[in-house]
Amino acid sequence: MILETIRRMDKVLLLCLLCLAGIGIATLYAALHQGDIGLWQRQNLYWLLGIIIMFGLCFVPLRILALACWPMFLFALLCLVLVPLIGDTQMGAQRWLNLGLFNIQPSELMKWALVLILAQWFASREANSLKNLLPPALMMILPTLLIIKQPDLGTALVLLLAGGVMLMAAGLRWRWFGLGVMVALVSMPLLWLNMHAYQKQRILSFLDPQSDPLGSGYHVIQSAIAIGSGGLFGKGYLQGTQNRLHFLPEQHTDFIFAVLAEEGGLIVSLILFVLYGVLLFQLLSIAERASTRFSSLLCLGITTIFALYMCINIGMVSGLLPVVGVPLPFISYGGSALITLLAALGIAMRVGIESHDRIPWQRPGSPFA
Amino acid sequence: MKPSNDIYMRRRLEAVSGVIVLGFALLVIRAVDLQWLQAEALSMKAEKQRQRQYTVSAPRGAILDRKGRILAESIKVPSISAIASDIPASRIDELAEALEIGPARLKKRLAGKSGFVWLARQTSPETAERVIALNIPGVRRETEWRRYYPLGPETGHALGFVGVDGRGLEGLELSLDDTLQGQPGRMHIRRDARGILLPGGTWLRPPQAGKSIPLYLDATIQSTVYAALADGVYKYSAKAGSVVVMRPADGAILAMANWPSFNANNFRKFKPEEWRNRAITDVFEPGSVLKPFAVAAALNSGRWKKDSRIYCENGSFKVADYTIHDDHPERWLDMTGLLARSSNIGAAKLALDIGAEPLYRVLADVGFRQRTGIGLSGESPGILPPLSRWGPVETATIAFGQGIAVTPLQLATAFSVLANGGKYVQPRLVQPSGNGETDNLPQRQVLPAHIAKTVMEMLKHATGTDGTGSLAVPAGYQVAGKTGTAQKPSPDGGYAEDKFTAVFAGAVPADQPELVIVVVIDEPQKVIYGGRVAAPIFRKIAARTLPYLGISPGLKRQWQKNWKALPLVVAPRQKAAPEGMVPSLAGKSLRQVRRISTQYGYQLHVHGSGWVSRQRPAAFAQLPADGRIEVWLDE
Repeated sequence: MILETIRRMDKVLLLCLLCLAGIGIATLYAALHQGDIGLWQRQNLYWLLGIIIMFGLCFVPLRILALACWPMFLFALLCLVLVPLIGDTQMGAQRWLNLGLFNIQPSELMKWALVLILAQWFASREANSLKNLLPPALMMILPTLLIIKQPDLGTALVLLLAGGVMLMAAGLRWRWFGLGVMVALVSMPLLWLNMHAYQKQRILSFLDPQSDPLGSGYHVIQSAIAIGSGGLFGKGYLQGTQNRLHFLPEQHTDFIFAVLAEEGGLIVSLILFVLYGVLLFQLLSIAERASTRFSSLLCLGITTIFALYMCINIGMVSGLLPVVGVPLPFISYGGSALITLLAALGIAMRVGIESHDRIPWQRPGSPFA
Repeated sequence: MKPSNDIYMRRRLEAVSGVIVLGFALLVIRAVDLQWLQAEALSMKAEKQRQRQYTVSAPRGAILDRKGRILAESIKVPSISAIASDIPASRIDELAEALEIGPARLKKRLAGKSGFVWLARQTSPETAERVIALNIPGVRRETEWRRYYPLGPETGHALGFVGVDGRGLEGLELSLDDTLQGQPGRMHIRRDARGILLPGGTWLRPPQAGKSIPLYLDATIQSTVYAALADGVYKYSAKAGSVVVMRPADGAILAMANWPSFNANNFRKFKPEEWRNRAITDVFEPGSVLKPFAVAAALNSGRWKKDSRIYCENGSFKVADYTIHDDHPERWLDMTGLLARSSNIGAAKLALDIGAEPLYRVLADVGFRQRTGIGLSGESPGILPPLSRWGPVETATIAFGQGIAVTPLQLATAFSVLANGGKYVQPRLVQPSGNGETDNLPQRQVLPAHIAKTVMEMLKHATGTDGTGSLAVPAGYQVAGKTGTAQKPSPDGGYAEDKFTAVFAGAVPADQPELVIVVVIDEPQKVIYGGRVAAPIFRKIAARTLPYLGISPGLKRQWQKNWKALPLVVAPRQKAAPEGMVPSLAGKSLRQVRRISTQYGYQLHVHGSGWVSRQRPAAFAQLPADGRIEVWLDE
């Protein structure tokens, strides 16, 4: 039974993860080697912990996970409600909840809880009637509003987009989808009016970074300079001048891609994209061959969050998107993000293990069959 | 799951993967854009923000005396600067303690600033060491140049001083600023985002030290003069005093000192009025010292001869409604007697006889009423009323030095004309730099040579045993000089009853004048006469300076009196080498050593910093011929 589970694990996914872990640990060392090397050691510990959790979840049947949907969602919602009442304020935003032993970020928890609950809801329902759509819409909008209030626009955006993708996969009519997009567009000016000054500043400086090169535009300009100065082949490992001379802000967390791109050049950037692409492709194919609608939707939700993290982070670091606080999966420093990502990967692998389908190119009708 | 549903799901999944592929395609395009197409431009940008141009100040040129001894030099001292925004608030108390200032003061200095701030300029190496050892972010050690004057107050006025930014503010430092000022260098230095400069760097332009300037001033004579002046001012509780020592042949100012003086090494501790160089800025009514010029004018007019006699009205003489008095009433005096007895009435009658214009011309020609152009700022032209305002009373009084005001330097220049055989020579502090300039010495004949000679001859008698200036004569030498005791004009018109200026001006040796010395003592108490107050100072200076310059006493007087007090060793002329033993320098600071070597004219070679631990040659050994002394200093 155990051997069978191990045999059925997705080896490509594991290989991919191994490569990402190597790149991630090496890049984090480059970002931290002049500063707090203790953070790097702690991140290695998180890796160990996360991989144990990942493999552990490979052995947990999905039906047990399905049971945890509602308690988890309600717990996450409760935490979100508690944040404005007893939460810690860090860097101007109230995002953290002190649970005695450790701090948690309820919005982080909510992402995964929402994916779980939506997968559970649509496992037995089609997204084609108002009766079936109203509760999930509430499940999405209520936490989103609470998170916007914190304020944490990045996470709220990830939440909405992940939910939207799951609704779409669950069979939402395109016209409903279009309506949702329209509503979102119309509510934009409303959102703008309710934004904090620093959030407006971020968007304005995204549109024109040079307007305030030492203030709000500093992050974007410096990361673009670091990435660009890496050139095709990079400056060499531990040789990135912008990183070493402290020009890069947040170089070990959200902006770590700039370190990687400066020291490794375009080559390593593309290698990272390829690894990410293979990872996402594997996850999508697992979702496609999943044995139940629940597991398929769950895996798709996880894939969506992975893809959003990657695109939003790299997009923001390279100046395509405004600055929002989203980590780069497996590379950025951060224990809770890494462990939850690895746990999610474990769940996705469990989906693959439980599916009896063959891999796509072995199906009847495939040219490779 | 129904197959149709399965296909439906799969189509939706394909849509999602399509969006993801699109997103990744955008990222790839952006990466290629930044890292390939824009790579060069962004690399340049990166390079540019890592580089900083940094100005490195250049040392100012030294000011040297006649023999090349240092009067002012620039030495390296540490300063502490900071980037205000980088200093953590938690460490301000610590920093303030190391800087030895109050935390409140430090906070005030940093308040509201984010960029560069000076915390301590030109501080001691110990303080700098202590502050840097704290290793506080944003706090940095800089090297600045500080001006050091080995002779301190002795050269205070002539040299002036330099501000903390290295610009001359007073005296020669100000007027020679353009030459002394070096060219600051510029350097490319790599820095990090916090502004911390990385070691190494490349010069764009290395700093160029300023040019050193040799003066005519002589450190030894200046010290002698300062000591004699201070002594005299103290002895007679005077308010102030000035001395100018000038070589008439070429106008060289060998010494120029004032009391009270100030120490240019910490000029801020003194009041701005103490920075004033009285020898050139302050005018005084010269009194009787002007009489030689009245006599010269009389002789020049041809109406009076050397042995002509004049009736001195027995001490009281009325001009218009103004009565002139003599301290010692006289009847008949010849020209020599007039000067020796210093008769006001005689001088007045001479002037009235020859008329205003000839006297005015002589006074103007010997340099009164115009700035000497010595090259110091703030020089006064003195006060000589224009000829149109000279009535009989003015003509009479100016002849004995009332109603005219001059500076000590002007008086020295005027006496140089007499000493020079009637040639006016412009006084100069700075040695001409080129070799061509020495030839066109600014000089002109303003009095016939025989008249100047005659007046000098008469002035010899004024310092004779029966003259007013007898106390001015150093043993073995003859002096041609004149005393003056003038009441000071009071601010509310007329003359103050109890305020006097005591003056002595003279040339020595009388037959072949090598030096003209002017001593002016402002408001002496107890004794007021120039012959009693200023003349002894003149004697002291002459007695020490003449042997130093290698000028031997006239043979005539050598055996007359006080022959035992004659200087036994006369230094050979124009030779700088000091004689005798090497002093013990062990344990002395660099400042003390420099001071000693400047005073005695050693050639000093210094190794290390701190206090002297070793010297070569050893103490009490015979001084080498070149005067070279090496010292090693230790912390």
